[in-house]
Amino acid sequence: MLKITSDPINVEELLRQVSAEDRGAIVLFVGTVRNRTGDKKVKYLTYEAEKEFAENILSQIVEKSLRKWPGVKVAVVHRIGENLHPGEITLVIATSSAHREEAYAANRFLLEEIKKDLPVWKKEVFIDGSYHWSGWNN
Amino acid sequence: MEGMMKKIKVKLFGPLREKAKSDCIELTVSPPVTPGKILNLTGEVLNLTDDEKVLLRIASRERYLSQDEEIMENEIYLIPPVGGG
Repeated sequence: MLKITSDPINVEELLRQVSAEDRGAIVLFVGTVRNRTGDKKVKYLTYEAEKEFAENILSQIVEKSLRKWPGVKVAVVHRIGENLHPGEITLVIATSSAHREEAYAANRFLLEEIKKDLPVWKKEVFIDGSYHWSGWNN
Repeated sequence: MEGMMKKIKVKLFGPLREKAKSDCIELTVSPPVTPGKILNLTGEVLNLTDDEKVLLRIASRERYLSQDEEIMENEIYLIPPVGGG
């Protein structure tokens, strides 16, 4: 399962996707909206993306991880949309393998590649009414 | 010479979409069309600083493009810093 969605993420569904009797380890990364950036309190986030384009790039990121760890099962869902409040789940990466090392390594790799290349844009709106696009000088 | 020019639709996202007040702009570019030319022309249209331009990448619908490759598509994506995760 590789998906960019505006629907809430079902973590258990991702767990099921990577579970199997030959899997001795499942690693789950769950990214959530943080309530503070620096000294500013976050009111909500907006994640903007063009779904098809972002899913194309996500597939390439996962293919890259499977070339490095061919035995690992992967499921990734990234949430997009407006008004995502502190505590809400925005990203889940599930990886599984026979032994823990590969599942951990693949999961960390996927997270870093997603942060570097997945075409999703984060707008943080603060309690004081100001806002900020992540990575942009504004 | 005008007939040799190529029209390129540049899709905009996040801070660029906000700045342009539109989700795309159309550029007329002389061949060969390269990411460098697109970045310079877009920079002029959107009044971007050099510091902002160096943060941008170009992609087709399928993948990121390297700086020196010729763009064959009629529609491309201008990518400001991503913030997923």
